[in-house]
Amino acid sequence: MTRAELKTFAAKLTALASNATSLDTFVDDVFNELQIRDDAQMVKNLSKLVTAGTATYAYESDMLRIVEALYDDELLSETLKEAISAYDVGWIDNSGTPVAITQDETDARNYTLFPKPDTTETKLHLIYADDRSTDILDIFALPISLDALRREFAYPSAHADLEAAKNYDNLAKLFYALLGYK
Amino acid sequence: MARNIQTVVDTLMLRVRQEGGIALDSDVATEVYSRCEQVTNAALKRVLASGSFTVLAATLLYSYRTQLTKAIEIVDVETSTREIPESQRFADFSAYELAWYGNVTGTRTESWAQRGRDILVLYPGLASGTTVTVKYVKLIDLYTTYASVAAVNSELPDEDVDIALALAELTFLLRFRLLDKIPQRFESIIKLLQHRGFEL
Repeated sequence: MTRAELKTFAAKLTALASNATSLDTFVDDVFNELQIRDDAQMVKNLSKLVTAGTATYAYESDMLRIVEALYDDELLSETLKEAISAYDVGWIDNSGTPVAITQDETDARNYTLFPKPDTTETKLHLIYADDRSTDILDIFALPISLDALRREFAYPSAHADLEAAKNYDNLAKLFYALLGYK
Repeated sequence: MARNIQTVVDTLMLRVRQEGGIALDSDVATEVYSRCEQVTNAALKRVLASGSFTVLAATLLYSYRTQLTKAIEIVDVETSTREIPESQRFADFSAYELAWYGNVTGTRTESWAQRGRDILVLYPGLASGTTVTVKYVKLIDLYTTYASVAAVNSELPDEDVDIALALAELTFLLRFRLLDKIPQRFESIIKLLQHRGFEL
């Protein structure tokens, strides 16, 4: 299904007044938050050209979180810069075959390879959660819609209903659990 | 015996009906119930299917739904002569060889893994293409109109139809703000799921 179809479906799950604009925004928010989790379930893959001497790269335009990274023929460990510094304080100048990747620091839209590659080749292979607007599996429609409605009825407004919001939350959590989210 | 979906939707509409309340559109009831069937099957893995999967030469990563459009989770990969073991994590391929992703000259598939509900990895890459059989959890067909399910039976086993029905009922009780009925229904669906062996 498409993102637009998802929003249409979410609106069908409330019989009482809501704000269509904010509900659409909440559907987008819920979708993106689901996709930046470590257990993101909608993923795609990409082979990336890396440049000798360049450690940091920008996320692709549709990229929300890298869930697996391989360089050449080996899996990269995801780590923190502090951990790399503990291993080697001069890491920022090192180059070679990358063995680790960090993606949660300096800038949320960048990722850094350690050590920086010493060749210019298409050797980086990424599996990442994306902010797709099509090809959303039908099974996600209910939990995303219910989670968006939880937000819709929780914020201060003429239609705020905290008791309903709490129940939307419980039901969304049940659907998430059924789909394997922890 | 498979249950007719329109009959199940009728039951759903009766269960959430309220005197003088807001009427429930039968198409909306059908769509929500149908989506509940899809989630029920994703959770309990009752309706499975299998299909031939083309393995390309020198390729380890596949977006599996391009070949198996109804697949939402892989449960088994096999050839005509053997079952191929699953690796739970990518790191588990290292047990075969450290540079596992670079092996593209294999003679047979040794292991498989999936990431999310899109990516299938078949290790190692093969020197020449072949096919394997993939068994998967099927995305149950979605119905969005009451008329369309008049002669359609549920793909779910009868006992699991009750779970999908209970999920849909809970969704509509909330939609109509019949909040006092929700705790008891919630409790009963948790028990239903636990009886089916689903850990929450």
